[in-house]
Amino acid sequence: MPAAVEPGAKGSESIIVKRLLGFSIRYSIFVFFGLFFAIVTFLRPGFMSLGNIYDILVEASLVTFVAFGEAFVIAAGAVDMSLGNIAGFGAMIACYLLSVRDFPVPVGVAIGIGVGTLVGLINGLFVTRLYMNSLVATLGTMFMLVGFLYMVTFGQTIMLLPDAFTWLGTGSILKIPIPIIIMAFAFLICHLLMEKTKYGRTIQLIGGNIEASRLSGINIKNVILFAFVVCGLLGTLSGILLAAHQGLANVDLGERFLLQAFTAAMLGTVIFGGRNVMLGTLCGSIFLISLINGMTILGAGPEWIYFVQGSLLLGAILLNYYSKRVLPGLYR
Amino acid sequence: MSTPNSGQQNDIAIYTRGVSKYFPGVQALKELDFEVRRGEVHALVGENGAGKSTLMKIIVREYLEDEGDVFIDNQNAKGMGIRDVQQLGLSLIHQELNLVPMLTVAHNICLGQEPLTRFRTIDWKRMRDKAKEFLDQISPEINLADRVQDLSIPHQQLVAIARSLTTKPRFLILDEPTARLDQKATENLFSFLANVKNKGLTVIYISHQLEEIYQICDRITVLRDGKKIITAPVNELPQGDLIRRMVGMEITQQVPKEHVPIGEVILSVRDLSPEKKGENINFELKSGEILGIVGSIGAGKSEVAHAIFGSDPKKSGTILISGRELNTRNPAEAVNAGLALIPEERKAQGLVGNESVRKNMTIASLEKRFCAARLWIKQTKEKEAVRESITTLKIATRGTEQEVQFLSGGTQQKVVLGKWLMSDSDIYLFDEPTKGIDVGGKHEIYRLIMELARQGAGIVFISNELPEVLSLCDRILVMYQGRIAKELSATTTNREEILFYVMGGKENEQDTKQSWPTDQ
Amino acid sequence: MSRTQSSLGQLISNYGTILAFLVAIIFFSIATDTFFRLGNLQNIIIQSTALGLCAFGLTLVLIAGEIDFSYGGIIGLVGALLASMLQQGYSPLSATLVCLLVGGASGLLNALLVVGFNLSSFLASVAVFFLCMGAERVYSHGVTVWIQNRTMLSLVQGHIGPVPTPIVLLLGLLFVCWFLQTQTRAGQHVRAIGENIQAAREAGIRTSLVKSLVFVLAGLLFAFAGCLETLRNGGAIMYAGKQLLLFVLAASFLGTATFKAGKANFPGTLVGAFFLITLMNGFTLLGMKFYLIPLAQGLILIASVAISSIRRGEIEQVKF
Repeated sequence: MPAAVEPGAKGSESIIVKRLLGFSIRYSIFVFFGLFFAIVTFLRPGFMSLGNIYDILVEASLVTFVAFGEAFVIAAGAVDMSLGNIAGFGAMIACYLLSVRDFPVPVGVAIGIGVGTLVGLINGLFVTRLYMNSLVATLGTMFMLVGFLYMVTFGQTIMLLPDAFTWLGTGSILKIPIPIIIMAFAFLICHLLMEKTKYGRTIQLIGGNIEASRLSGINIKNVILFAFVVCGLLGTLSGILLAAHQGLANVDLGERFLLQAFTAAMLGTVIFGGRNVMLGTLCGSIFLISLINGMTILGAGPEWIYFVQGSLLLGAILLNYYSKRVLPGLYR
Repeated sequence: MSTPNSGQQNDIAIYTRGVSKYFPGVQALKELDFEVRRGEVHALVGENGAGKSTLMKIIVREYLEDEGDVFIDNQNAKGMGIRDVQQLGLSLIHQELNLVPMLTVAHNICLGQEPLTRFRTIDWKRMRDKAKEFLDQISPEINLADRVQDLSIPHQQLVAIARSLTTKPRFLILDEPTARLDQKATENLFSFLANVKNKGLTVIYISHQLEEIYQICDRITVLRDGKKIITAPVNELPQGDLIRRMVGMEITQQVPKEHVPIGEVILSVRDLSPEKKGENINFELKSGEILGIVGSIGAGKSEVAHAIFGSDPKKSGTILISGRELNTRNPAEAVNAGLALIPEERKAQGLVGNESVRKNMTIASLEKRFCAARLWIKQTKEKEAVRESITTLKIATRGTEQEVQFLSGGTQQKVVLGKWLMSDSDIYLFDEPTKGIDVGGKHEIYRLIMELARQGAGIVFISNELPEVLSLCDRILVMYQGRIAKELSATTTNREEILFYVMGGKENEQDTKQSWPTDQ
Repeated sequence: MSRTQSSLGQLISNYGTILAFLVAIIFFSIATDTFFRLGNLQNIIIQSTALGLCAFGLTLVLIAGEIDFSYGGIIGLVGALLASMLQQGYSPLSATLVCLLVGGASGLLNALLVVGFNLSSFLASVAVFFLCMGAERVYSHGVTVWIQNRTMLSLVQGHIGPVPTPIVLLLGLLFVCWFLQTQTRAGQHVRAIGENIQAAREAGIRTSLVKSLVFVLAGLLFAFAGCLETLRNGGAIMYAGKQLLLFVLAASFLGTATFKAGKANFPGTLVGAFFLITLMNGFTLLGMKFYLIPLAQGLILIASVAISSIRRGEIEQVKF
């Protein structure tokens, strides 16, 4: 058969160059941030103080949940643009129940989480049963949630939150702030879920080649649905922690999460070369928050920070594209 | 004759002299002399792998020959590229229908060269007229104003052919043009070919369909194993001779066929009509049996497999696994019922390229074998099982974690096979499993398939390489234009007979009713 | 190819938007007595102008088979530029030109990313969106700048003959876009590229060039829309583009369910834009709470897309 055997792999001389290139692309992020940290610390030693590091980590822990959620969805080959609003909505419901209706804290929080998870489920259904494009579908839910958010409180801010609740966001156990502890747990669970369970495995496979997965007997619809549900759940957690941390809940809650979560999740897919997505996302969110923190310390205005975040996202996307599409081609 | 003498040069449109082409592992063309006369319709026939498409690709300059000369219209094609030969008037009509669905037939035909009015807008009337000019040659009944997406597939193919005429080609190469056509459309094509013969258009017609070759072609060239066997006028080469020359008398390397005990019926297919192609497919498969399905392009073999597996919808039909009806609406259910499909495109359909051998191999059996509490993946157990598989199947990989996209074709196919072996399936549907794999690799796959049969699995083996089909299978179903044309027993048939039915031969035709000598 | 569809399903996907539009008009006319008045109807058209123009830009990109979210950022950025330049005393002409230039540049950036680097247009335009938003924030520092320039304001609030200027602009541009897309070679080639880029390449169409031009043109339209929106608001409000984000998308998708088009098209997009503004207008007249509007927006977007996607039969993945 003429086309029987595929042309052999390229000469091995250039393999070293390609390996080096791949290595440098993947770890360029560490280099970049390493440099950044060095420069900031040099200019403002306070950056590396224990107190500041704590602040960074606490701040990061708030974003990390959403980032993990987004990471699940991205791994499955979709996006969730409503995540910020899911966070806000779930938190709003919880705070409303706790503050206005005097629900016990565990119950209020549980209901809030339940609501957010439900939204995630709806997103998943739009994508898997109505076959909608996930971007468009989640944009739609995003706007619907904005409306719902207002409906809960008619625009008013909820402030009188029970101490037991705010303790979650501001208290500490053994000198370690609770958000950091929760973040550690969340990381552990998400990492295990993604790397060691059937669900995480099938999500990754679907993200790699949905058709091959389908033909191998994987139930595509249910797995993608699961990814969205998990995303909704995690997103709500972020919102609730943020509300606990701030001590109040308003309609803008969670607005900033989307860009940050997306950036962190994108970074997560390129750090560590695509393996250990959750660890990558964790690092991504820590890097991102440190970036913002550092820039603030240096005196940069909020506009610049926003601009830099956007550029970082673009950079992460380019890196992702490069390592997924271009690098493998080099090896052939 | 190897060199046309100068006096007759005006009669020869295209010729090759001593052309050879080598690909790693196989000599695709061996000192091939091939010549096509001006104004004729020249059939090029040969089994799969005979070299037809390689030869054509060399002529259109998609490939370059290693040795020999190619002359197009008396010019040496040595330095030419694809565009150059197109300028000379050479046009190849290939498999993909590159049409724009939302535009009209007329517009598709004139795409890129739409006539303009004074104001630089599209002159719709002139465009319609121009398109009509070309379309009428092919099919007067297709409506110019219809959108291509509303046409039937045969009509779309005709439009694509009409489109290629706008470059005013002088040499046309048609590669299995009727694969997508129905009866009426085929007639249209043939009247077109009959007409253009007189206008000096030269046609090379690659086909597997006996009827067509004898109906419209003037001369036939038979290729086999990269060599030209014979060129003769159509009336000097009866069907039987043709097929014999395609097949040759060589005894091919056969895998010694073991006698495997055949058990009960494990798969029953009744009245299956896959949505895309095929009608009323009926057959049964017993455990331990290897059932071959052969047929040329467009016969509908893959469609049957996918319809059984549930990966493509079907218009009607019932599938029974060991007597129980299977409601295959999706592959997940089929897999649970014990079916396995090894798809034709291993990279696009069979493997997740950027994942490891391990993850690819266990994809179909995660829950069944490697999950605790249906959730937790026991990775040590997984790795062990994969390592075992790698050894048993002799998979050439650096380890369980190597990304499959970097493996060779044959190795990749073994990973796909390993995936299904791990899931302990009962029924295996193989779709062209040895395509693009070297000889050594092929034999290993045969060995594995035989082993599966020995263990009691039922195997459907779809392939177009007749030698392997004959040596592996117990029974053979020949499909032609979406239906099962004939069922043959491997022990009593031979390549000629199979090829006869593959090419559309009908049983009761007088001049071919002869007993096919079995070559043993 | 064609499955047996219920005729109702076909009706909805062919004419759904127009039907919904008519239903809405009838409903609001009955429900309130202020809806069906010349002044109000004119108002609707005027309010649809910026939305429509922006949606035309998106429609062009959709026809070419790509998607573009950058308008979300471009509108705000352009508005900020326009307002502050007018305030600093630049002539209306130069201010507008700068705005158009910025729009074109963004489009060029999109083209570079999508055609040059082969990124998915989804991601590329989202990135450009965020970049523009960031740039807007840097430039305006979050301060709202009001426009005092009478000439410019009269442009938007004035009339050409008996007809208000925005209406003339909108309908004029509709005609131009529709004409260019359906009657010129280039316009049809854009559609060909969007449907089957392989076929377009084989026909000799220079797909990279055409696609790049599409992005740049879209950027120009977005910038134009941004100028109009700013003028209509009387000033540059921070992140103005974000508000329009969803409506523009919805208008374009709703446009596919009109005139039996099945794909994005200009007249359909305009109908979609009118429909959305009519809804908002009607709801406001009915005294509907302002926060229910985003709710309705989201619902309509989902419904408009679900109409066509539900028949797809398979899950669509996002290309990264």
